[in-house]
Amino acid sequence: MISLVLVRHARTGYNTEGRLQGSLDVPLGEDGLEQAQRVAKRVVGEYGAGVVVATSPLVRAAHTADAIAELVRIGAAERDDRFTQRPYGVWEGHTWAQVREQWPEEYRRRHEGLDPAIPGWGDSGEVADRVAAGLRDRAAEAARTGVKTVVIVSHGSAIMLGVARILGLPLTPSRLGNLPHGAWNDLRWHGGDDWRLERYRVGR
Amino acid sequence: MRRLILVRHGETDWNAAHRLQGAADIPLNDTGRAQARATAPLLAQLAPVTRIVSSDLSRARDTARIIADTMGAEVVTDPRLRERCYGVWEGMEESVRRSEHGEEHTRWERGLEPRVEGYEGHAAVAERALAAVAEHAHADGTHMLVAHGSTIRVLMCALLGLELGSRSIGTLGNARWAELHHTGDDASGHWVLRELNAVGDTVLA
Repeated sequence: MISLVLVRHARTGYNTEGRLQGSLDVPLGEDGLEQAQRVAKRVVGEYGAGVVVATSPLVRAAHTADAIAELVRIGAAERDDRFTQRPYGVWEGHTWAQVREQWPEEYRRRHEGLDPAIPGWGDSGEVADRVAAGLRDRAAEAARTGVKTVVIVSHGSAIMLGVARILGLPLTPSRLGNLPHGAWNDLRWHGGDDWRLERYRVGR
Repeated sequence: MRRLILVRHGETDWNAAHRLQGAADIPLNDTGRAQARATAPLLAQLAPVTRIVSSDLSRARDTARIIADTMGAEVVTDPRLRERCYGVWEGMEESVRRSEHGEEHTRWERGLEPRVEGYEGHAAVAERALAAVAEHAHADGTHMLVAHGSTIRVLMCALLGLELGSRSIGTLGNARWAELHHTGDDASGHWVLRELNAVGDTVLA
């Protein structure tokens, strides 16, 4: 049995301001760096020092992951493009208030949990497939190498979509609630197609 | 918006021995009572309610009473929240199920209905649990139900649109809870899983 611990990255200045990031590579703020340290202690406290750590390549996730990797003394976390965030296209950098004002129709669609028809938006199905493939792959690799727990630092949308795809839940609207920064889910693989969400929204 | 908090009862001696209880009325043990007492203030902060609806089996009812005492809530019981009946499997340890009822145990672990005398199937459990939710948790606001592992899991599958026998959503630990939200009206809305087994061993006894 393999545990995948899916952690949402710590807070950035954009998160605090309510600005959509998507593919924008915004760094952790001061409080985000502190939050990353706290998350690292909690995750390692919970799962021990024998974990493998992988991460989205975007720095807000990578630096959160590196805080964990440092604590378990394995150098830097392994960057993995499959865990990067959904691109938010032309909405990136805007606040939700700005989005509602400039794209009222698409904002309404998004508010209902659907994919908006805007340039550059990452389709939910595509993101879900990408993340799920990464999760399956990491679990299989862990099984091959005798690793019990893989910590993966990623992003809210990416995590929700990947988990939903693995569990067979509808993607839009989501049946999984938002994951706060620094919180995580525990998704366990029992071999074959047997995946179980054992814990959701831990460490809030 | 409706908030639904589903709490599983604290530990019993049969839980500790991995013996299926089902309809058997096995009481909380000391650990179970301690777990309920540790969970109570967390739930009082997360979801203060004035009424808790519980399965009438004593392990659930007593867990509910301990939580209710902390919040100053009343407890109302409903047999529709009881654990699934396991028929002749009740009282059986897991090792015995594996060794003497291997084929049926394997079916059960995969979410299929085992062919066991007196076993209550997924559809029956879902129907009564959903009826309890419809009656007790139809209004906007927060609702807390105390019940059992299998019943809660099957209920969550029903609420989230998964196959009733699915093992995709984990079973709650003793004195752990799940939180679901429902937005929109019954026709167009849907349930969302917010939290599951979020509190770990490091916090509860």
